[in-house]
Amino acid sequence: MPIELEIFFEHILNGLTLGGLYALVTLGLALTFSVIDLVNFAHGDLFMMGSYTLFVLLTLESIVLPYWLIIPIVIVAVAFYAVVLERVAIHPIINKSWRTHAVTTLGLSIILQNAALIIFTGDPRQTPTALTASIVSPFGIRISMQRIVVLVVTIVVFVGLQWFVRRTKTGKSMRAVSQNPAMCEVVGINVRRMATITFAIGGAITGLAAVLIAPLFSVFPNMGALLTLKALAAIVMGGMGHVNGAIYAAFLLGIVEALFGGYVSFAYKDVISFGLFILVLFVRPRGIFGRRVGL
Amino acid sequence: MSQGAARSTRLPRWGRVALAISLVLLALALPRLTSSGYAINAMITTVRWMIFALSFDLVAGHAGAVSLGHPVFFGVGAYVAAILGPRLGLTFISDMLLAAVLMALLALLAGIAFFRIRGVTFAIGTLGAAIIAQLIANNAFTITRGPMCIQGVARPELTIPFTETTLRVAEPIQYYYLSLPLLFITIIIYLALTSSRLGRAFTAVREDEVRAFAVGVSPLRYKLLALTVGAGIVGALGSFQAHYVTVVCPSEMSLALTTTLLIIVFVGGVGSFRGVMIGALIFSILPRLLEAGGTQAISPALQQVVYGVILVAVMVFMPGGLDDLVSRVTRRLRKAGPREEQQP
Amino acid sequence: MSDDVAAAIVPPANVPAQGSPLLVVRGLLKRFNGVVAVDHVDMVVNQGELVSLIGPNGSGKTTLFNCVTGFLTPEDGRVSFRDEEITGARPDRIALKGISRTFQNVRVFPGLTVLDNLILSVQQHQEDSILKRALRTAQIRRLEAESTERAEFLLEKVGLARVRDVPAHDLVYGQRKMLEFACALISDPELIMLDEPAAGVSTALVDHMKRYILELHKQGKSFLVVEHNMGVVMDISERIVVLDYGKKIAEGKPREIQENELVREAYFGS
Repeated sequence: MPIELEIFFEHILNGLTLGGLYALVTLGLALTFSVIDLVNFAHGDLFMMGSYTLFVLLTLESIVLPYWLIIPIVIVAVAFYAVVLERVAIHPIINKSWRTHAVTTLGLSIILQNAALIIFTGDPRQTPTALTASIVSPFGIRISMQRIVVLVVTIVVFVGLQWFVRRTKTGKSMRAVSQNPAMCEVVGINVRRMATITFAIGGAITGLAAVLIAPLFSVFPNMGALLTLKALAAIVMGGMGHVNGAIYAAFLLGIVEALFGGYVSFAYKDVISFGLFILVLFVRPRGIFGRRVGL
Repeated sequence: MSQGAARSTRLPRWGRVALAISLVLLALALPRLTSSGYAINAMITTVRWMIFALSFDLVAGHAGAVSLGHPVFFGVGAYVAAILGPRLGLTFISDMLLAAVLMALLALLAGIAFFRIRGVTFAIGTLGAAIIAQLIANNAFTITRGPMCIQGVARPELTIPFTETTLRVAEPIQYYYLSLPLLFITIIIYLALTSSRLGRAFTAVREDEVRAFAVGVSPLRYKLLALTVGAGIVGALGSFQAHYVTVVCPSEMSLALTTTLLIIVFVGGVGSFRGVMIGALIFSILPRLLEAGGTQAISPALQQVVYGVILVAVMVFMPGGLDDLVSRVTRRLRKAGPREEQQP
Repeated sequence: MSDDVAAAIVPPANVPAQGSPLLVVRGLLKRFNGVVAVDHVDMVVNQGELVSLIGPNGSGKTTLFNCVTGFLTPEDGRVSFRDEEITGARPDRIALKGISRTFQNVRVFPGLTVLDNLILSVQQHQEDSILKRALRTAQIRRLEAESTERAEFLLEKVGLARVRDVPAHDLVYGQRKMLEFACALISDPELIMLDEPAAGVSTALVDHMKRYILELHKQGKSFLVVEHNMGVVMDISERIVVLDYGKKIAEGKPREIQENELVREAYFGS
């Protein structure tokens, strides 16, 4: 294979991994947004917390935990963090305006980022796993197993979530809440409990994302802020509340960033993705992928 | 959010005039009470945050458009002073005016584009724009020198009218007195735009855009008014800042400024003059008190955690902010008569 | 829903005009995602007339309201007011031309006091000079005083004088409804459009409102009212327009409508 083509595939692959990261983070955020109509500006910080949890578990001195055991621990941990946030700060303001939502969750984000800064310092941390080191090379392209796992898991989670919201009782209730919360109260669906469940699921997905993807990048306190914004960009580009569209947009952002970063300018790759986002905002305020609303 | 306007316990007219005069005198006399440059720097910081927060509150509190990109106008205003000013051979005052006019124009264009977007999407979009601006400031090395910062911005030189004397400003106390007129102008503009007829129109736009249309208020027009005026003020402030610290860095438009603004305005009392002023005062003094109180300087991260906790706590427990608290306390003290019964 | 839209066009009102036409709607069409909400409707409100718009739920009454007042842009057809075309104009412009309206689910500004809600509803009609307002010129102060006086008069009329300085979010539903009603009157509009004024309001209050509407009507005000309460409609209307599935199916005096077969079918299903 010619070297140019190999590099191109490399970039595409990077883009897909990045897209997988964005997609998983977006999925959790889009879930809370569509079910309880709240944009959580601290969502990316859950990813950060998951990543540090992974870091702590990997560097425990007393016990060496295998990666397959760490995965469920981190998932449960982040789901727990999300529920705590929801109970403590979001639950009381859930019926307020979007301004209150935005300011409160931004406040949470400030707390979490700076707490991480105090606990772990600003030094980037690495969380290598056995999978990052194992390389496969189909068609002469070298890929780490970790990336393949990320892509597979993204797809599995996405399909699984679709199944969940369409087929299970809880999932159907969530859809109902997203469409008409007032009516749900009438028919006996506990809207508040649904909010907590939604946060738990969103947290679990984010925990999964963190435990799988953090090993590919470095971990630092404000890594979540940029992720939140990428996920928000994906949600807006996908057409607010349209989860499928948001996922496509997340992959689009990942690939555009990887290609632009690889071929044009690494320093400006985020400028391009946010520029793209703002362009979409102006040209198609309802998003690029249709306008079907709902899960 | 605006109950403050409707319910706040108002002093009688003479009381307000007396209060205003005494506050002005206090502001003028304050630096005379101390010789410490540290204290005077704290005063300048306070004035700066008051101006910054008032201009932000015009947009976020009154027009209801929580823009997370407000510091961009501050930062670009500072860069205007650092880059454009010297090339055009402008002096301090004309530099500030140029920054104000340019930022107002920029805001007008940005507003026309961004105000097509409603609700939380607006906040997200402006946050994206702010990050773009900061990335450019960091990376456009040939223009901004990136994180190396532009150094050596000229200190102000003022020609005193009707004399040949030129005043070279260098001392903190001089900067303080230079910052006061900017604060007074800001206060006058803020009060003029937010009381009486304009204030009502802003409340309409913030609370219910649909209904605002129905009473003949164009939401876009009022949002643009708030944004252009707010950006103009903060552009001038950015220029002032550049001439004060003589260095302009990309951090002049960082998101840390946005979070501080949110904290000042929302903890103080969004949409309330008194609240914003109290908030700016507290959050300018608080970090220095924390420093002075402890044996060693408090880390910025811990300070941010404390701020964040205060912000979230206020949003959850006291959505009206400190302003609402003050109103309630004064009402309690005066034992104001019970509200009218509600039967038509 | 019929694709044959041309067939749906009903000939213009064959009702004798009592004054010159004030509001003229011609061939108004509005669809939502392909579903026709208002289907080539023609209707006229003449100067000094009190017209009611009725029809089952989802028959397009509110959509028609929104098209007339500029909150929705019709896909086809024209709306003119005092011989001036206002189709697709911005809602604030239309409001300032002299059409005031209320909303189905009461809309008042919760953070403003009752008095401020009223003054706001008239201030834009008086002037909208930002500079004058900021400087609070003598003219502005005079207008404020006049508006306050007029607002107080209206508050007396609708029975809200005692809650003058209470923020609107502290009002009970009926009071908000009356406040919104008063807001629709204060600018002395040519045409007053009320969207379900009697919905959710006590009988006593409905009577009060009804009497006041008739009083204003006698003084020459024109009304277009959407209402479900048939008692009210039959009592106050001079003329009734009936919509069903977005089409105008009948039009006439209250008695004629009561006896109309099509209307009965639409309401009670054959």
